[in-house]
Amino acid sequence: MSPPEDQAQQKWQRRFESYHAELLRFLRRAFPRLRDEAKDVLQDVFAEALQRNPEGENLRSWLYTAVRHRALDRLRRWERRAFEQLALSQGSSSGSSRSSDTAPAAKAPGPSTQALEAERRGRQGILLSQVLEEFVRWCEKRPGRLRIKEAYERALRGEPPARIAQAMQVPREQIYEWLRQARSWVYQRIRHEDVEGSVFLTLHRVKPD
Amino acid sequence: MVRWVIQELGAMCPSRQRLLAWRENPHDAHLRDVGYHVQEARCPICQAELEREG
Repeated sequence: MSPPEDQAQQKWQRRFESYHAELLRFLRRAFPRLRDEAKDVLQDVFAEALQRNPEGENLRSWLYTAVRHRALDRLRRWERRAFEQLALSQGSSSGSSRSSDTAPAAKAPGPSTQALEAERRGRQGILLSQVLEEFVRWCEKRPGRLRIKEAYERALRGEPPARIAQAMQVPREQIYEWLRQARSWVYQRIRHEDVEGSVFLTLHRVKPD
Repeated sequence: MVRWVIQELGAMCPSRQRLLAWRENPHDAHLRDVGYHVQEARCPICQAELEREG
């Protein structure tokens, strides 16, 4: 490394180290699953800072944004792998653990079918995450939609409509209407990409009232 | 899967601007959903975001 590059790296090292402890705390608090990999994430961010040299920007703010993005990237990679493994394990035990509303397979799917299924599950997770984020931004554009967001989030977290109605102090019919609007938005958004409707079905399994 | 994308990937997190606005005005009716998200659902990402802002 030439002297100017070396100096630049040392400068960045010093600046980065002054934020290291608080970034580590934030990362471990916000993403507990990355607790053991937190230092690796910070190392990635440091490498990115060296490359992009965000001079002139608010460095602290830039670092937090970068940490958050790199943490989410890592979790999404995990997510994809986890879904792929899940799909493969379901594929290998095909028939024995299928629910009664699923058509039984004549025989276990071959490796190529399993790989396709694994890939599909991976995409499903990513699409689901993107669609929900877009839904939140859509709701935040108009104050009138914020209650739809709250009702929908409560439903996604498993609260039955009666309890949501009680918590939000509105009639149950209103909750049904908000949930209908939210599901309709989500359906419109994903119908082109989620050809089989699997994301939609995952989201909207009927919960007991 | 739904739990994963909401709780760990922060798919239902409010914008940072609204999160900070809620901290300033926790009783604002337009920020009720944020109160639910942070206090009742206990989103770890938003809680950490608030902590770092002090």
